[in-house]
Amino acid sequence: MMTKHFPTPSDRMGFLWTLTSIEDCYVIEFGPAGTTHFALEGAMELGGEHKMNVFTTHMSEVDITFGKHDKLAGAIREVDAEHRPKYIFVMASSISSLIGIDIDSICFELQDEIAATLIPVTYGGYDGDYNLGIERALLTLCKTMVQDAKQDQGLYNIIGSNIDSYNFLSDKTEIKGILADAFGLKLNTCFTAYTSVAEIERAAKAGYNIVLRAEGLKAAEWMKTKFGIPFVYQKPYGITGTLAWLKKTAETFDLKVDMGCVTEKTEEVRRHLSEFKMFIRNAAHKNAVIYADYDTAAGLADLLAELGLSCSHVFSKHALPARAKEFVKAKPAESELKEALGGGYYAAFGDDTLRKLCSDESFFQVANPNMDKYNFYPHTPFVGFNGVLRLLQDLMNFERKKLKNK
Amino acid sequence: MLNLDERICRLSQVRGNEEIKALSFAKFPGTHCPLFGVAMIASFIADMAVLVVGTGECTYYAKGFAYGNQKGSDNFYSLVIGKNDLTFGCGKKVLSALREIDSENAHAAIMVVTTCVLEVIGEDIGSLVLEHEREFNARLLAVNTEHFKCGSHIPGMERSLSALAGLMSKAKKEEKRINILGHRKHGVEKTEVIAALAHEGVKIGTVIPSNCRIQDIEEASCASLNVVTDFTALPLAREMEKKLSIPFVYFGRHLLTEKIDGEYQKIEEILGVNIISHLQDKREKLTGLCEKAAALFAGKTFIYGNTPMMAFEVSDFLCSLGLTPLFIQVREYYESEREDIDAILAKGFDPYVAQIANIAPMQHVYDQLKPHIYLGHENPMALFKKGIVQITADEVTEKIGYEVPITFLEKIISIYELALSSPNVPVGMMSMMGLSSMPANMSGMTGAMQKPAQKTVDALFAELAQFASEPSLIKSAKEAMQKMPAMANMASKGAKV
Repeated sequence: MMTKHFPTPSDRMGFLWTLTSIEDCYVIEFGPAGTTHFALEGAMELGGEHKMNVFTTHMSEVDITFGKHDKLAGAIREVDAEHRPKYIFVMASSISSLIGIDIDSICFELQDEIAATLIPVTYGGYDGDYNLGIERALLTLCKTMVQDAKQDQGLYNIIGSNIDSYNFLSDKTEIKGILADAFGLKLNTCFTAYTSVAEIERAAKAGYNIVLRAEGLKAAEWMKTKFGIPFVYQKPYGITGTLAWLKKTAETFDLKVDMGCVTEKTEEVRRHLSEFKMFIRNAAHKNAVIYADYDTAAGLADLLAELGLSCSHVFSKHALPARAKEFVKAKPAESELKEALGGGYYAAFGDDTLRKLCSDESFFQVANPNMDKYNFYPHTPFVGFNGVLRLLQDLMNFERKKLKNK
Repeated sequence: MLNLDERICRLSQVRGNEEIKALSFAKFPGTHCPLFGVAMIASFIADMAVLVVGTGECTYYAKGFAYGNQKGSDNFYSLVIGKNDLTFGCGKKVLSALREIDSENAHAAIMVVTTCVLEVIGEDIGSLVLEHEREFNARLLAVNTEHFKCGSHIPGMERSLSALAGLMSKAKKEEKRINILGHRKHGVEKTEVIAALAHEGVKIGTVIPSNCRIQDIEEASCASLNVVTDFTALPLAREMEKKLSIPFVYFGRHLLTEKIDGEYQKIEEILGVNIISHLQDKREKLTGLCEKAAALFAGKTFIYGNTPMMAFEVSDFLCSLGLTPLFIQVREYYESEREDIDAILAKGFDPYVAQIANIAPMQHVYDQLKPHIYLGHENPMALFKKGIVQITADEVTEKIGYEVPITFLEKIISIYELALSSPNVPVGMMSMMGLSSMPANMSGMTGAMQKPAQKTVDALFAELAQFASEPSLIKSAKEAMQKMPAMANMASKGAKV
């Protein structure tokens, strides 16, 4: 499918994006240098901080013709000797994958002479969308790095806070705040935004796993089987969604919710919610169009419904996960997005593609790519109680602006 | 300890590309690819669509770069190739995408850009375009950008410029009408050469690529001279000379007065105009700056990283000012630089030479060679900590003529003088921001840059308030970051040793 706007990122991109925010993570790519250089700059456009150490071998016509991999072996030896990392991800590129370079065997052959644990990553970016790469990266991290540890029931991990997600930083802050207030829990390891190899290694210390995106489910299931860590999967949007998430968390983990903070926040939201509903009672359109990653799109639809808005179109930017909600449609063509906006709408929530297709005034950024705005302030969530307040504030300012312009 | 003699060559040993070796197998950040080069050129042409055919990452990142380069108004389309396309070919898919773009009637031309994977499977998009071009309203062009056959983005720039010759056909020449080829900055009319030519009644025809539409490119064949301002446009100029009999003058970013004189003389002869005599003041200014630089830099050593100019020409120029080259990083070997290489050797210097864009092992090189100056982009704080004065010269990109060495000398002199007068200031950062001197209200910030943990809350607050009141500085910092995104944010990562 041809696209005028940004195409869907590939599984290989998702894998790299998941690793890029990990301190002390080492990656060697076996492919043309431009692939790595482009990826480095592209990752920065996500608005997250690049922390991993990535190297390229470059690849020549001779390497491709004869299937040579001496550059890769040399690079692995160099990085191992120079940086003394605990792990090195040895990644295929679209080219080395296409010509059948056997990364698994190369790592197997070299492992005895290399101090670091070599982790082969054989994907060339042809298997699916970026969410598949994120899922694979999260599972690989668990399988290769997480070590057995004595569990502490006061600790939890977040699985699925990654820099590809537009609001990952603020959403993580909100989740941390709620779990601290409601259950007195502390974050142990975050997979993978702004974490370190050491933190991932000790992930099994946590008593619970909080999964924020479908891509984290396989990793959570693996940790449940291997270490007996239970998990809850939901990205909590809206008052109802957040309360349901708290209830599910309390039940699954056998914890007691401190209702004090919950009640206070709920009341605060209700107060503003009534005002907003008054604002929009005569709105010509009360429907929204959403175009984001699956968990954001589905969760945001629930939140908007709570605010008195309907969602005429809820689109996922990538292939849908198993057991996805029926109202979410995967990967619309650009013509379909235009059509969705064509019939009139209250507001559009999406990425840069959607922004270009609709008027700036009625657009709200909720997904990457984001070529327009900074988003480093970590207290503007969409999830949790403060997420409802933040969105209400944005929408009421939007209403106020419309009144002024009348 | 890195044994440089084992890993790389000295300049005297360089005969071709084979001798330009990398310092290590593991490279960071690595060079850009030809697709990036195409995006640098083709995104400027407003009514030309560019269809990038390749993997998800090639298409996505090229789109991102073009978007940023043209502030969101780029014409880049993406056609992502999957497993089936690699197995069964993607010709039909490409044609279908071209028809869809053509049906929008918004583009006078479409450039199809193929990437590494298509070249590996041997998909012949060039022939496909030739076979079907008559079915389209838009003119069709094809450019391939496989990175495994080259070492940088330069071939992508050259090929995308050369491809434009396919849009031109013979036309009646207009006297005293010229084209500018290869200029990638807006505002070419402000450059010394163009201002001087305009003064002599010369008409500026088409400026490729920074200010043209397809019709302008088609009309470029009316010119009587092509002025090439960047070496990447030389293949286009040669093609136009062969096909349309338009002579060209290569007005590269030269630094030596004699070379610039030579270029001006060629223009004077071809167009019958008088230019050099109007530029005497600039020649005198240049002489003065050379004298000042020679006094300032006598006996100093340098490592060449990158500038908008040619590596060996810049290095030879600095040698002529009394500096000693210790290490020169280059993209590739170009035969056209042989004269400059020989000139450096004739002066008695024999520096190390290695491939560019590999800054992690360079940290060892700095410790071993201990240069006074590093010319080019790097991690400013890392160089500052090693006591190396970092100087960048991006400003030269938009200059042509005597203003090239004038701007370059003014920059290196001012930054080096600043380093001498303010040893606690990381001048590399100022240099990358395009500043030649310390803004008055930045002086307090230097302390904060060095020892943030030592400041009191009040002192930090005062400094940050000053910083915030300097919007031009913040703008400059943002621009500097945009210019070299891979380095500024990430150098410290790969440079960890």
